[in-house]
Amino acid sequence: MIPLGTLRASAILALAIAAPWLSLLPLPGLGALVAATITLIAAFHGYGLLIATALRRNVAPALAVQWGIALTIALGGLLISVGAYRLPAQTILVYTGAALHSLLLAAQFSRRAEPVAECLRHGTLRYSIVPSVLVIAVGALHILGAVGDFGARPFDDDGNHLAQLQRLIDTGTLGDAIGFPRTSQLGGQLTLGALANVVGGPAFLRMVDSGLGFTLVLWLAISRIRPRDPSTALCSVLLVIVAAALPFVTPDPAPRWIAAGLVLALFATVQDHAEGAIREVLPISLIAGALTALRLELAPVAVVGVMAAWALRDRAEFRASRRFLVLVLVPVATLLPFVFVRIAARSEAGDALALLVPRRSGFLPLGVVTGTGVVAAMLTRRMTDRLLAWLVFAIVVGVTAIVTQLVGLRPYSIAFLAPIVIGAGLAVVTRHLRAQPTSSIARPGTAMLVFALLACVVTFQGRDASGRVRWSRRYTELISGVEIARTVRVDSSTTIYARLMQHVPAGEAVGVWVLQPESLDYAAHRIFDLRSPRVAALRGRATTASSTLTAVIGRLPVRFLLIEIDHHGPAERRQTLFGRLWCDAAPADPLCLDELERLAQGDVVATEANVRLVALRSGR
Amino acid sequence: MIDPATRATSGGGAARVGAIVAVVALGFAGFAWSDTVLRGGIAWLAFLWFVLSGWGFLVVRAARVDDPDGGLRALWGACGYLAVAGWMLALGMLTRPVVLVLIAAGVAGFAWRELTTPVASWHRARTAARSLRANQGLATIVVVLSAIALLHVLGAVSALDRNPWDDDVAYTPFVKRLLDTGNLIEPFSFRRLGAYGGQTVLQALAGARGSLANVHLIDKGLCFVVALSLLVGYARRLRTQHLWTILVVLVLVLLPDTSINTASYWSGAALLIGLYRTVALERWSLVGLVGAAACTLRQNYIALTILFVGIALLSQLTAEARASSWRESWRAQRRTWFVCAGIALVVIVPYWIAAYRSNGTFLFPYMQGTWNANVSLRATAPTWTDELQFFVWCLIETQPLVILPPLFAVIVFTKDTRRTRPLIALLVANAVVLALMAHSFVGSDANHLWRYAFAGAVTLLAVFALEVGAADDTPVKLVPLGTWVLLASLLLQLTVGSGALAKRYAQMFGDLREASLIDRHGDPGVQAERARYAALQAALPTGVRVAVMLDDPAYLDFRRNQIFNLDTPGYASLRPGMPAFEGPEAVRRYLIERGIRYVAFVRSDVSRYFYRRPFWIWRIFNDAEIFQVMSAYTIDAIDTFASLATTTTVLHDRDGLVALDLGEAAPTEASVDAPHVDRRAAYVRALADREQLHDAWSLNTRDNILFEDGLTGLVFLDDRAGEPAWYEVLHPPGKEPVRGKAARWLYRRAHLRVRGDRDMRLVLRGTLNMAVIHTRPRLDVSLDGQLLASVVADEHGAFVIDVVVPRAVLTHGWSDLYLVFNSISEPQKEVRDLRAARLENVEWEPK
Repeated sequence: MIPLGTLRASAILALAIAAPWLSLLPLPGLGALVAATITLIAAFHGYGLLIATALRRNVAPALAVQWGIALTIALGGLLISVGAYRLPAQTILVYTGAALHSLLLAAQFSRRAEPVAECLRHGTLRYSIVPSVLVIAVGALHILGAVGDFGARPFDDDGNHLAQLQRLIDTGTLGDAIGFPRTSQLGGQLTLGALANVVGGPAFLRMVDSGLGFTLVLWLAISRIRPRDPSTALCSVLLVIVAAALPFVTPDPAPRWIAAGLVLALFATVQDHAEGAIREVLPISLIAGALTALRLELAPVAVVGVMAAWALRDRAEFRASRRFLVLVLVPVATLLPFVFVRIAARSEAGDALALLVPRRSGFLPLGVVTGTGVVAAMLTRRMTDRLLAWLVFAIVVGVTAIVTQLVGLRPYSIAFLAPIVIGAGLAVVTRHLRAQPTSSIARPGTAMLVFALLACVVTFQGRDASGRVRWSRRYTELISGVEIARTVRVDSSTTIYARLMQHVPAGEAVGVWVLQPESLDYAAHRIFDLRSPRVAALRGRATTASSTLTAVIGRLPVRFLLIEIDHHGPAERRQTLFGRLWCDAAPADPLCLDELERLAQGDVVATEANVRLVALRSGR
Repeated sequence: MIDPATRATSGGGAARVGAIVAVVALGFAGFAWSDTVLRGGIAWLAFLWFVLSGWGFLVVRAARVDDPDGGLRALWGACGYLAVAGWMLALGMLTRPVVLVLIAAGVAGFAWRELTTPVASWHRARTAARSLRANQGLATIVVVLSAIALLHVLGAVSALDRNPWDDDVAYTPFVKRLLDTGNLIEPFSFRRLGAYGGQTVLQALAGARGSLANVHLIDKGLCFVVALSLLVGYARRLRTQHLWTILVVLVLVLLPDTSINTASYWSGAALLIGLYRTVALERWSLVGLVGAAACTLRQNYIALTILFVGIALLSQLTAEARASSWRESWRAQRRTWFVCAGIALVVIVPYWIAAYRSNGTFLFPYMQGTWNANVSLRATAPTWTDELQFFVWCLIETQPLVILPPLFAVIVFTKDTRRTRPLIALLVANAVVLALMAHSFVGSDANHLWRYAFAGAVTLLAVFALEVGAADDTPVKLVPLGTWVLLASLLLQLTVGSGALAKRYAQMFGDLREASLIDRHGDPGVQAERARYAALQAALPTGVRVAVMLDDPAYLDFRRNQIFNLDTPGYASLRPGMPAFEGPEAVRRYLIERGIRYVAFVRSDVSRYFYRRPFWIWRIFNDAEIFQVMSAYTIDAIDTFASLATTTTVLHDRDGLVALDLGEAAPTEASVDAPHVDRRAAYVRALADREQLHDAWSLNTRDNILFEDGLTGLVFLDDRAGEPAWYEVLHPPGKEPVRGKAARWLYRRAHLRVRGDRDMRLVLRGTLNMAVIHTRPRLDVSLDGQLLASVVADEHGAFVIDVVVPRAVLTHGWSDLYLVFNSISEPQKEVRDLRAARLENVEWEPK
């Protein structure tokens, strides 16, 4: 007779194997979204399991998912570099991952079922139930709410994500160094967003970070704590409450929670490697490369993670083996494809880009970061817990690099302090709770007191914050998003743009200033998106032909402009006395228009609603 | 507890008699000073404490249990009084003399105890004083805490302000009616429908001395003291460390006051704390007494009490079954269940009888009784996401305790080794009741829900903290992290609670000054009001039935006339229901047919608060849906009586108070075809048109269109001033007031829900502020995912949508209508708080 615990464990595992394929069923509304999310998570888990199987290691599912995310970013980069990351390739990538998940779990069925059955028999699983249920409930809210969130800004600091996603789908690669210059991000987040789009459509792009990323980092943290008694279970629950209450809003699809999860995974893997649970360094290298591909602001932390992996094992053994090569070369190999594509895009628009992208300020930031790093290293050299010392070092270096603009540009890069602090902070907390025997956690101590105080204060801060970061407001808006997620968003702009672009010969280069560039067909034409903050800052300036905006457009290989008229010029002019006197009466006067609007007065090829296609007179 | 075996009498007989005389003297002082607020109120409050203690001793003797500490004894006494008073109420005999007799019984109980207890009260007080003197630090803290608590009590005694919406129109008149007539028969009262009357019976203790001025004496005064005493007594029993006891007491005395009227607040907390302690003692007969008494105070306590006691009994049964078997366990335990339930029934049944006599139901809303079934207290057609939203909001925005979310987590991981597991039972009961209340209150706001949940939440926090801080052999086991979280939470609560202290104490000292002034010179305002109402009532024949719609019915003599109080017109009435939206003659006929020939009301332009017509007009367009519905009925009633005052005999019309004789002959019935809800909707629309507020009406939720989210509330704009640019701060005010233009600000995505059973015409008009938006965005309007229309604003920012929606699309109930601008925000600005687009008119009419 099969023991009940074994039966239950087998049922759980069987469900895990079958779950990713639910998205193929015609499920209604929110059910379809949930199934799609499960497929995506299973895909990441499948790739993580592949790495673990290759290394012949057992890895917790939450950590395997993070490894899988890193691997998909690396694979995506390779495909992007050869222009093959179109929808079919994305689809294959997702379902291959899901298939790996199911097949590897099935192949390792008995090996995986036994630990679960053991937990069920000893009753320790019950301490995981409350934290797990809470993570699922909060995560579901974040995921589904983010899908329906209409708060995404039209463009962010470094390119319109939705438009780039469409570009990937249409062309299989990235381009357009004007609309997507990649001064701070190389496109790693977009590779994930494209996979999300396969299972759930464009709305899933918003879900990747604030929904899925948030849930996965919580899952990983709790998985590292291993709730096995009331103390650790309570810690886990408080962690979820504090994370939910954190007065922190992600206003755009940029990677914050995904980055936090990868930072935590990086140092968790370094810890396991240092303790001998994992001998190979491939996962560490992959994560380091993926972090850098996500955001350059995270590169210093990735470098410190790699250094920690090298420093915390026997160096003699390390240097002698190929592990050293893997540790150094894999991150480079992950980044190279993205860098290659970036260089190619920049070469196409290099002259114009030179007018837009500011120069960096020399070697001073590097000097400051190096000096701070040296000081941090000296202060932590006497710490007995070496991993903790490296974590502190990582936080210091990472924060200093951003603040000094060694990586990234303020004010946009400041937002990436959060993933570093959150990820590394979680690594500190989970390390402490994971390593301690139950009896020591049960004793009162300073760490417990600090954690309790912080938990209460942060929870109260979130409750009492004002505006959109207020806890109740964030969650009621998430639930409104869940309501919207049930309804398909209808957008009429696709057909307007398509009808106008029919007048442009295939393959021709077009500059666009439209409100929804994600509605364009990037396969039919070479598109340069002018509606970016750097170009927008040039509107309303001097009217001479040598103005920067004209120069930028002049240096691009574009022969057509697609412009959505927004009356920006007259609105700007009204800020002056002359403008208010003259332009109120004659808003169409050339003196009242800005540079772009003057260009739009040129050779109009076609117009519909407030969108206009103009042939440039420069006659290239 | 005193071991009866010792019986070593301590304290002289003279001292004991002296104590009894002192208590009686307090009573006489309160009685004699019935015209005073402060002196008489304080004396009476102190007197009532001893009365409850006496009643408690009677209960102790009847139940043959050990004499507990003062707090628990007083609480049992309050329950004993409620139990006996309930039968008087059911028989319609609970008049002032009877209440005084019951009070005298309490005094007798106190005297009995004082004469027979081994340790006299004065001796206990002396012993306590000596032990405090031995510990100077603790003595200082005790003195300070006592002083703060005393201030709180003084503030409750001297607070004269009542809630005009609830206390003036209903709760205080209930007490007056009870003392005058001995019953609470109010078939037209919405508030009587929803409560069994226990709180009113308690309030009668205060009013029995001859004054209704101290409206907060019972709940915020006496019951607050009982609650604190219960907790201190529990702490002593558990041998809780002083730190925890001090923290708990401090948190409670510094709690912000979130009650808005004299309904059960601290009385509920006291009874629930007492119930918890009684369950912990496993005195099941008394559990039935206390539990049933708690149910009489507020309806939401019913579910909480039943769940709490039921789970505790079940836990006990389960614990026993583990040792033996289910059958044997039930055999051993069933007497406990029956005794508990039986005594509870004995206590609650008279209140059921009284409620049924008044409103034809004792299980509202499951039995509707005199309730108007056409009115709903919930928002129209809430979706599951609406309910979830409200539930989550309430879980996060807890009031007045700000630290409940982490505390819930801590209690979940607490081990309660007692076989009844009362702590876990209370947690589960609170959680379930919270969910049920969230379901019932959807459309309201979190503050209202937490007023109702106050008693349960405070009880849970207080007993948990005391048990955690108890001696090492406490049955409640909590890991150190949890203890730290609890400690940090209490400290945080103190910090938050102390924020508004200065203002609160300033208010309190103002009340004290006013009260002491009234004590010296009387209250001329009250005297004038008494005279006005006396003159009104004098115009009515003695003994007749009269329907009243007055600001302060408590000034009426309920013995002189049979009075029916319309505290919320239209919500409750004798069958078949008072007509609404059918004109004044229909109402006249209805009242005459029910033997109510006379009416007394206050004119709208003189009403202090509740019957001001312009206020209800405002409310129809600016408040939550439940109050919009209430506004329609109230305005209809106001207009009806005003009209009747021109067509019937006016007996009295002075100072805004009017008495009418409706005559003997009932008018003939005019046929009314339209269903009630449709009549109400048509009435509101016609009212809006008459008030020239059609646009405002069009922007409001009504029976076939709901404004869900993505829009602000109604605003009124000065149409003359033009659109403000981003650099303009104010528009100069005009010379004369101008009727504003109704509008709702839109966010980038607005969500409405619509329904219809035929082809419907949808018209949307709005304007974008071109001076700040710098673009002419496109507006897409979709219905259930299908694009209906797409327009671009014109050069002035105006947009109009005018489409016909075919019936075929509207077949499945409510449909989701989304208005989405393709751009409305600036990247650096708050994307959800940009007031750049507004909706000015929404028509949704049959084509």
